[in-house]
Amino acid sequence: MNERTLDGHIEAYYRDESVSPERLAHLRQVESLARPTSPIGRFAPVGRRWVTGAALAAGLVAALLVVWPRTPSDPVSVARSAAAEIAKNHRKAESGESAFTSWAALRGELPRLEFDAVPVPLLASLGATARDTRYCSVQGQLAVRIHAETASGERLSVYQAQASGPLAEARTGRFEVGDLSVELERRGDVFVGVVGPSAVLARAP
Amino acid sequence: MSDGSDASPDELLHAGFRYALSLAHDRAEAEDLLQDGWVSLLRAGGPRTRAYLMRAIRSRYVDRYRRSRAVLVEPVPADEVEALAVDWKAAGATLLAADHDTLGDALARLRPEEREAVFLQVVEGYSASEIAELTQTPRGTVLSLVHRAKKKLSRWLERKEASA
Repeated sequence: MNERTLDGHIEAYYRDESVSPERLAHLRQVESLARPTSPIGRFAPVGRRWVTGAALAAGLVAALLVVWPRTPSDPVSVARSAAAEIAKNHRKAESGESAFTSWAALRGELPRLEFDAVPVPLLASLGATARDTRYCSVQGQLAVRIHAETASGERLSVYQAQASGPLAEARTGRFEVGDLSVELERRGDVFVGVVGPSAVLARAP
Repeated sequence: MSDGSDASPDELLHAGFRYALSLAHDRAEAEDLLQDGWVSLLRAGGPRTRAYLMRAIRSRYVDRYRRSRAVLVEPVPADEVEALAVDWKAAGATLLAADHDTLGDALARLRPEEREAVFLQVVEGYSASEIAELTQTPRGTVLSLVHRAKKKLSRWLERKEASA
């Protein structure tokens, strides 16, 4: 632990960060390709040579961008995607397929599920009651959605899926997606996402 | 503040990466943002300066993330603005103990707009008016963002230090 002023810490933090050498080399390559300076055809008219050069450079840049891998499936990116997907699904407000009876009974009622649904203490702490359930998916994995309501009628949704594949590593915590908050956690081998209005989730202890 | 016109391309790209990191707080995303911003700058044939690159990165960031979510902009009363302006430097002068990872965790708790404002003020040396111009945000809001962000960071680092 180093003792510095807060500004000193912030400055040092960012000064220690730099683009990876591989990406830096790639960006420099993109820069050199984007310069349509070398003549393409010895006898081509100047205007056409420039257009041909620019088109070739643009093509090469596009090819490099396609070949270069985009954001990898790191835990934070997976969690962000999952949170955004959960918020989007919550906004759709699709109706349930069957009434909620109990957490223990869920797997029997939705036989395609390959995991036992787990109780969500956050619902109880918000005084919300589970109403209905339906199959859905989170990041391509089969999941269950439980729709719940607080005593004052505020709508919440719980998503649960087996915590395998990318979901096994996804970062947990609270994500803000517009006016919604999404709380992601793992409870045993179950990935849980609770979504609702930010103002409601902020009331949770 | 320097416009970076005398910086080498590598220095310019590293600076752009740091700015992208202040927005995304994720290395992979920051590299993607830098790449998108860099390509759009090259395509537009704009000057290769820090200010232009940062604008290009910011524009890509807004396209990707911000348009799909509501961002709360809290108005700051005029009398508070001047008090915050006086507090501008003092808020960062507190002595604290932290390492790179601890500060990273603390920064992760800030909203992207708070992190961006703090980065521009502390690392790039922008004034509140310059940040306001780049981010198209009222100066009072910038002052409030920096003030609030530094308060949050100090509180979190102090708590961490106490529990260590």
